[in-house]
Amino acid sequence: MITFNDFVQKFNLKNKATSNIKIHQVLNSIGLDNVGIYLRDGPFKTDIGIVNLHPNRGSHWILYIDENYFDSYGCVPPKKLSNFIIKRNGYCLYSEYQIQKNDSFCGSYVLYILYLTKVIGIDYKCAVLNLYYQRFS
Amino acid sequence: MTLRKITIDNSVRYIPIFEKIKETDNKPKKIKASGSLPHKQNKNTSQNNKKFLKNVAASGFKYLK
Repeated sequence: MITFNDFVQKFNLKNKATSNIKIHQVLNSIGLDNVGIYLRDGPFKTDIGIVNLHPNRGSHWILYIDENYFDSYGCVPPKKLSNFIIKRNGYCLYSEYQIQKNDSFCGSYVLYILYLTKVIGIDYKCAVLNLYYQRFS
Repeated sequence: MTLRKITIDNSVRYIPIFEKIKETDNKPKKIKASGSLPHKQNKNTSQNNKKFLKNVAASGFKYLK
């Protein structure tokens, strides 16, 4: 397992806006090319997805992994997405930890959470707490 | 993105200042994102800030059913 800082360095991620193309490149590099990349209103088709919260342009990246929802600001999921998650899994678990504060790493955070959960195999809650403590300890 | 410094329970937090986003063309070729909160943009700004502050004040995991 590598730290968030090493992850950012390894995949040349910057503290600025992350494009869907860059996210796709990193997903391919870590062997998660089945992850969907969507805009806010979907339609969502995959069990794991990275979603931009703007309906047609770029703003903020968030992530869902099965029943788990991750927003680096710790906000609740948008209605359409939470409905999709609940319909599929019966409930939606979301993190309220505010990991993103004075930076533009939202794309990097979702990629790192995916790396921890799907590549390393860490439980979702542990992955979020791991990242939280890496950033603020 | 513009951030505002606030203090909750003696800890310093940074929250984004909500800005109205103008609609332009519907044919984006490349999506870039750095972390504003667009899903709040259509609602009243002061309500959004109150909700957001309430959300920031609590930390943990929550369930929606």
